[in-house]
Amino acid sequence: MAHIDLPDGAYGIRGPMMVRPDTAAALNELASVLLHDAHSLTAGEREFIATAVSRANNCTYCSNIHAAITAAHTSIPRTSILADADRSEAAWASPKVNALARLACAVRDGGKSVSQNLIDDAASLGATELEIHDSILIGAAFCMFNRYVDGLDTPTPPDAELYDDMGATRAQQGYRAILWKTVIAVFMCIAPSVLFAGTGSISGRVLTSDTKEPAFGVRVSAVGTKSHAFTKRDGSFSLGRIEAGTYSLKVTGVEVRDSVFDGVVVEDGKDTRIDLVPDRETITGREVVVYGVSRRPQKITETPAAVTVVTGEKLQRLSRANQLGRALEGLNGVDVVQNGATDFNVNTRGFNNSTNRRLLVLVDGRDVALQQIGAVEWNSFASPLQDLESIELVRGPAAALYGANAFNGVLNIRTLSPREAQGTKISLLGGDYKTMRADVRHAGTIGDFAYKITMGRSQSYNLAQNRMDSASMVAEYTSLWPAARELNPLSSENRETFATYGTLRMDYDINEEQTVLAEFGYSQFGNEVMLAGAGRIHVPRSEKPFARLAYNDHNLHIQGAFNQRSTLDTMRVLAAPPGTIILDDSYDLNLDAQYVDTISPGLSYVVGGQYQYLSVASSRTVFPNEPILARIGGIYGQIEAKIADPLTLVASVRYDNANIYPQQLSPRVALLYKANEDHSFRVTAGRSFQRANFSELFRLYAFRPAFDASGRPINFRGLQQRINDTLSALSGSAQRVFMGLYDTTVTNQRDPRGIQPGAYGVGNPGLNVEQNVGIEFGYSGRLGSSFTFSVDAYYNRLTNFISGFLPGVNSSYAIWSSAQALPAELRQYSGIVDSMVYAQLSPQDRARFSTYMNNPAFVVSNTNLGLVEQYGVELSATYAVSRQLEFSANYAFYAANLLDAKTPNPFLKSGRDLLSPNTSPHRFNISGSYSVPMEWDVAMTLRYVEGFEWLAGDFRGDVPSYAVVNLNAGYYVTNDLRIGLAINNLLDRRHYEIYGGSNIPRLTYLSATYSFD
Amino acid sequence: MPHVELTSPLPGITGLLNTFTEPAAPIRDLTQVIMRGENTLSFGERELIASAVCVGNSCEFCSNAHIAAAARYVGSAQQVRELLDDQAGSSSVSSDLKLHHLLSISRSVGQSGKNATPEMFAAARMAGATDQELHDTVLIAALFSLYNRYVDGMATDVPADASYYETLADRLTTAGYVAKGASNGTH
Repeated sequence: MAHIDLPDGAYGIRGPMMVRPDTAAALNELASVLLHDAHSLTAGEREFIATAVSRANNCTYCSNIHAAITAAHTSIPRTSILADADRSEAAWASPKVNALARLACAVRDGGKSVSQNLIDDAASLGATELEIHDSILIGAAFCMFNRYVDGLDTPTPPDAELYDDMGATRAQQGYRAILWKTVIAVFMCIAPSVLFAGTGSISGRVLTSDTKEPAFGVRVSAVGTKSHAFTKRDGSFSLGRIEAGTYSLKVTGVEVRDSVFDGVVVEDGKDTRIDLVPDRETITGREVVVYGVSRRPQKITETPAAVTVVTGEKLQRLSRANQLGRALEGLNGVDVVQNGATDFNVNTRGFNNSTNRRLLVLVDGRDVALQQIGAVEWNSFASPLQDLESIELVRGPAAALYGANAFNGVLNIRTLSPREAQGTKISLLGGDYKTMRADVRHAGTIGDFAYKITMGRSQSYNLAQNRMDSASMVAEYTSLWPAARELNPLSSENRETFATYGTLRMDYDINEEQTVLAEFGYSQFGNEVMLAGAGRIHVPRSEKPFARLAYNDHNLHIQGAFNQRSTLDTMRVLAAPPGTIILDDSYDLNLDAQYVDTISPGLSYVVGGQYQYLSVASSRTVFPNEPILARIGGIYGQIEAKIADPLTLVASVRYDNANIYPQQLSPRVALLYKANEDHSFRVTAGRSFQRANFSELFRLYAFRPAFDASGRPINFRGLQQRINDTLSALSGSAQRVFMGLYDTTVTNQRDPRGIQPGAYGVGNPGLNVEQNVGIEFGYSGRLGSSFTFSVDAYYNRLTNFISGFLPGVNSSYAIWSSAQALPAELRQYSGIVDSMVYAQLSPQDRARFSTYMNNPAFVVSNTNLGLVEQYGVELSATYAVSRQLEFSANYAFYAANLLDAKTPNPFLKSGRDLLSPNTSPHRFNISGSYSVPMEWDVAMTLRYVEGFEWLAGDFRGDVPSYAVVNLNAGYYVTNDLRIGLAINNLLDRRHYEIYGGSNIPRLTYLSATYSFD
Repeated sequence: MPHVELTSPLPGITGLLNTFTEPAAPIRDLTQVIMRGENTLSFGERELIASAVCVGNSCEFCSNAHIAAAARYVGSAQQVRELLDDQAGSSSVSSDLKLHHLLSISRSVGQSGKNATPEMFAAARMAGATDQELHDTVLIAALFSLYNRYVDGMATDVPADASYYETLADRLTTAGYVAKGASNGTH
């Protein structure tokens, strides 16, 4: 507690300097003359002398800050400098400098302690008279500075590392950099009472120290106030409505080293212009901060799991490709397959699916899955790529912090806050397949409030095609016929995909630390064709409103979120008989609370709880009993302990209790070994689980009928007649048995129910969760400042897969036999009748021929099955040839062994016929990019995926190998106007990435983005 | 005889400041602002605070110069010395309680920043001292710690004639601490 009232957050001399900027100006000028200006002694040598004196005076702040400045000048650690200063003897300094340091320290005891011997010593070692004088004056001056700092008992930084940040800034900028501003303050101080009367503003730019390039996305804050802003692409920032006074500006960001700039004066009604020039972060990726692995910010090199992250400029460039899904493809460890225009499946580490949900996708903490089936609709987001702050993919089991469905990993998407997005941005994009897109964003501040408004619309013609006739299907790819044949048309109108969205977000800063925010959003989208296990589903028009309310401070994060999804038109299962529709009317409430704290530098923890309430309904199109209400509660905790430097242990555990699956306990343990700044190793073991979706648990809907070899629905009317003829012959009397092989009430010849038993997909409420237990090894390293690489290897054991629709796996629906349909006297002939019926059916249809509600029916359902071990390696390397030219490559190897995969159904094969990892064994990406910030950039990527087998529900087939080349280029017409070009599949090599999915052609997009204040 | 050769023959601090003009400029600026700038502490009080440090640091030149200057505001040099000597505050010369506490702080800071205790600040505040007065007291004490060590550390000459201090006091009370002319005897 300082003896007088000083501004919060200002340490050491900076506090009193803010209180009296007029005297601060002279003090800084003196320090500059003595320590920083050109001199026969280097700045480092003079700072060392100052450190020695401060140490002799026992002044903690001064000795640390000047040791840090010395450290910055000499690249010797601050702690070593302090030890040298204690002895007034530094091995790195010349004997002369050490003698001058002893001289300066003698001054401390009183001027009379400066003996002739000390003077002679220094002189004999070559010290000039000026050097002797200046050393004595440094000694005297630091007796002043030390007394000023300690006499007021000014606070010291809580974290000694702050000295290093401040010292680096000061070493680079000197003391005079801040002087001209304090000179203004001298005049202002003639009437100090005026100082705090009004408000002014600060604006300027942040430029990197080496090349003077604008630094983008850097946070600039005025210490001791709530005021903060983020720099735009041209490096500019603006802090409005700051009380007049003198401030320190703190600069933090990925590209630059954290720095503090003192003595920025704000005058009433005026705008103070200042360019801040922090040091560039010299090693790429070193300070990349990720959030998702531990649910708290941490350096990417210190996370307990593998993580892929895209932020800032790179994300902006990827936005030219229009789709979020496409922005992710080609990234290390990410497995993206595209189906329709905007329909993707994003996965990592095996067992992808046509509506994949083994990856939990969170947007600002909101689970954005379509709850009915758990998958993500990639065209339904209320945020364009340009509005994203970061995308992080945590690879590997992550249930220990995230609970259900963080099975293969977690995709954490964060949108820009209003302060990060300040200004107005208009983007237009157009391209192949009638693609058009417009996005508008505006964000600003009103007092302590910051707001952001976004709106936009995108549309394109779907890649998905009509699949009612063989000609069009064979044109897509021959193997689709006949299995993928559909009974409902996909007209041109149905193919006009679109998404319209709008959001409003308000942030209120309670104080420098505490923020509350409210966000509302709405999106309406449609005409996407999702490929599900039961066939393709056409989603004409749906809406997704959402709202969230959050409170954040340094430790505590609380968020309440509401998500709704409703269909406005009916979804159609294209393969099912006409009239098979799905509606959706679901919502969920999610409450998250989390507390993060650091007990000591080597010990921190995270604790949290989550409560989810889901209501899923379908207007009785899918669920016979609804709404289905689900309640899920989870508590979790993680502790990170530096058990012995450089070894850190990270242990996490989560407990979940829900009414739709059994209790779950999901632990994770990681051991991190950070050999040095350049090499770190990691071993992580964890467990995750995936809950069955509502459809798998509770649905009931019509399914694909049985086709004959020529692709026509089998007609059982004739069979029924032949069976009666046979029974008549066998029994010797006329028989007119009806076994329910078709619905006599259906007369529409196009409706298979008029000629066949019903076909149903039925849920299984007894499903257990899928489980993934794995261990992984990770290494990330760096050679020099330009070559970085990582290796991640994993081994998982996966059990209890929730199967797709399978025949004969649900014990509630027994294999059909005519025995129960025949009268007792004919029952002896049931074997013959059965063989007549089953002879009509393909092996697949035989397997699903069951008894349902006492009638024959084709039933498929779900079960838990299988034990799989899978393993893989992910390699990634980046080589920055220069600041402009960069090459990167990544490779993923994947393999899986089915140890057990069988069902109770004797007609079903086992093994690979039941379960397929749907993942390529070898994938690699190679890319090169050349970029001149604010001028132009171009990137070329080669993506290769080796062929693999696909099995999802009814879709089974080979995905042949494919290789595509992508091009991405941008040009800044002016600082405000950018144009971009993205060409996906440049060589137009038609291929499909998912069996049953659409053929992917070349797609070209041209975009323009205009930003202004 | 100073440790290094000075281009100005003037004794004490003046010769140093006139020789080493680059660091002299901010030192003079700082001194002018803190000693002669607008302030709720009077010139006399500030000179007393400075003197207390100089006496505590046993700097002969500085003590004589600032006692002489203080005497121009608060009476005689004798009275100033009595006031400074009365560290317990028992004498009638220490009737101004706030000044007494500010002098205690000044004297302590002159020895070491860590010698100033929260109790001293609390006492001064109870006697009516404001935060700015406390700040300025500490800064004056710190600044004169610089002067004292600079003057003695460089082994500057003391004036041969004590009347020199009166000449200096004239300048300090009329022109303040700003530099004026290279060698006409200003501070």
